[in-house]
Formats: sequence, structure tokens, C-alpha cells
Amino acid sequence: MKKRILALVGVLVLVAVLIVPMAVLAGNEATQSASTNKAITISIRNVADSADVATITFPAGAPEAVISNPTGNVDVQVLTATASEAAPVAILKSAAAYTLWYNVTSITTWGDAVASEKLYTIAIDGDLDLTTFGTNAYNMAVWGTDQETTQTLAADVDKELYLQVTLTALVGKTGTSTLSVLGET
Amino acid sequence: MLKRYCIKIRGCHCEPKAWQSHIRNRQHIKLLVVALLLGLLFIPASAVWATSVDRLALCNLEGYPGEAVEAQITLEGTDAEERSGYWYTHYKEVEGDDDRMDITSWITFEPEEYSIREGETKVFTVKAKIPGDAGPGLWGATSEEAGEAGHSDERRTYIIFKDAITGGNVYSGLLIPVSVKVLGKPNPLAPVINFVKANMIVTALIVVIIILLAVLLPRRRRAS
Repeated sequence: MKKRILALVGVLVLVAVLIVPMAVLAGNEATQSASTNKAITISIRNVADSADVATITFPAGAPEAVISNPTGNVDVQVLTATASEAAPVAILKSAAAYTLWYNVTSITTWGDAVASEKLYTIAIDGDLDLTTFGTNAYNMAVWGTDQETTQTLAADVDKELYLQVTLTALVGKTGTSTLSVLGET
Repeated sequence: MLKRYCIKIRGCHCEPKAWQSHIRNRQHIKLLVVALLLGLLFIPASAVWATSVDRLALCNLEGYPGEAVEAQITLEGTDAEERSGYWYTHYKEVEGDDDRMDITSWITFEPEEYSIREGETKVFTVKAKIPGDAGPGLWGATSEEAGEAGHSDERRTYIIFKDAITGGNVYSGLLIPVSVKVLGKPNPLAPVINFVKANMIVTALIVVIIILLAVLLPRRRRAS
């Protein structure tokens, strides 16, 4: 009886030893590779696509004036009643499709000088007049928060960016701010 | 005649048929060169981008209440000029949201600010510290699909990075949705249960061996 039990234990141990290292042997191997594109932020470039737009400056105006001709570090925006004259302050470029979010955050007393700011993107060489801009532009009056828009940027389809500010009724005020153009997939 | 012409003008010693073929080949080469030059006109100039990121969503991160969940995210500079930027959180408030949607207070970045040059990569750690009293379930988004493209309506909490040319004030960045799946209280026997599940046959054999030994050993002791 003892021998039988010992033999059974031995067999079971042997089975366990054989089962534990469950190696899988494969005769053939194939190497595969795949990769996904990286997501890249939106490039904000001048019209000739020769430089990044690093700063945008609005000229001074009378209290409550609407200023539609800001200057980027390269280009001056033209936005008048005549659509064919339109020229953007910057070009937005992207390798991926994004919904656009904007953020204008005061650095110094931006709210003292500016009551609201409008932003609009349009296809390259698209005609844009003040009326169309006024109807379609995204209006920002709250500073310092990321704001989702319905404006979009398609992959590899550049767009023109137009800006406009309405000054406050206060006189002798100057403000600076950051402008952020954010993308969401 | 052609051969003589060929020798005289070109200094070539081809046979007439071979010379005709030679001429055709030269014409083909000329056409090829013209085509290549024309083709160059249609090759777009090398694209200039800003900053790239390796993840577009940090959704369904899993952790227990009181734990900190960490994820790595990498930025790569692709702009010719140095850019400076920072990470921050954003909550997209939607009417009717419950208190599970805003988890911005859970999230920290290490490091939070950066400057990056073309070709440089920087790795950031995003840490979500789950409060000890957080109930199980999804936090920071309304569904587990929030990280997928086109599901922006289901997102509530974001991390955002944005940067500008150093010294500039025009920023560019991306929104990255974040959500955390808070798990129920961990079972202390979970590791044992998982081992048994993963090694059913071995476990059964060990149990049988133990039983048999338990039967055998007392008998041997009694016999001795």
C-alpha cells in the first residue's frame, strides 16, 4: 500500500514537473512592425510660411474703437468692407485634424484696454469682409479660460487667422496678453 | 554615313542601329531629367511644426482609492526655434455634471514647465492622486470611450500643454483628455486567487500530493 502511494506521489510529481515549464516552441517567426503618427501642435506661421508668428500687436485706437489691423511679427492684417482686400495676420497649419480652442490670458491690464476679441479662421485665399467676419467670428470676452469653438482645422489644409479687438471706453490704457490656439482631436 | 558622322562628330564607334538606339536613350535621359526637374516643383517645402506629443489621451487609468496613478508622456521639439511652455489642467463644465467629472485637483505634473529645442525629447510624469474616499467607477469623463477620436462630448477633465517661441506670446498646444477608473477595495487574497486561476492543473496536483503525503506520513510513523 505504502509503495503504491509513493509510486502515485512520484508520478504526480513527475507530471507536475513536466507541466510547469509550459514552453511553446514555434518553428517559424515573422517580424512585423507598425507605427502611429505623432500628434503635433498647430503651427502659427506668417503668410509666406517663412517664420513663426511670435507676437501680435494691435495699433492704438479711440475708446470703444474696433481695431481690425493687428500686426504679427511679419504681416499686417487687412480686414475691410472689401472682401478681396483681406489679408490675414497668420496662417494656421496642422498635420492632424483638430477642433480649435482659444485662450486669451491677460499679462498686464488687458481687460482695461480690451473689451472683447474676435477670432476667425477661413480657407487660404478666402475672401472675407468685415460683415462676414462679424457674423462668424468667435467672440471672447472672458480672459484666462480655454474656450471651445466650432471652428476646425483639417489635416494638411492650412487656414488664415483673422483677429479683431474692441477697445474699452477707458482712455490711455494699454494691455498685453497671450493668445493660445489649442487643438483637440 | 551615319557611322562616319557618328565617329566624326561624337567620337563614337557605334554601329548605325546601335547609334540610333544610343540617340533614343539620350532622348529618354533628357526627358527623365526634365520630368525630375518639373517634379521638384511639386514637392512641398519641408513642413515646419511646433511640438509633438506621443499620447493623445490618458483615459481609463486604473487605481484604488488612496493610490497615485502615474503615466508618462513625451514631448518632442520640432520647431527650428526654442519653445517654452507648461502643463496645466482644464475642466470642461457641462450642465448636469456630477462631482465625478472634475478631477483636475487630483492631477500634478513633473516637471510642469519646460523649454524644448528641435529634435529634443522631454518626458513628463502625469500623476493622478485618487482620494481615499473616491467611490469605484469612472471619473473625469462620462464614458470609457472618451479617449477615442470624435468623442469630445464625453470628455470633461483635460491636461493641456502649450508653448510659444521663447519670449513670444502666441501659444500653440493640445488638449489631452484624462479619466480614471477607480477600482473597488482590493481583496487581500487576490494574488493567491490569481495564481490559482492561472495555474489550475499544477495547483490541483499539489493539493493531491499534499493529501497523499498527509495520508502516507502518519502511517510510516506508526509503522516505525
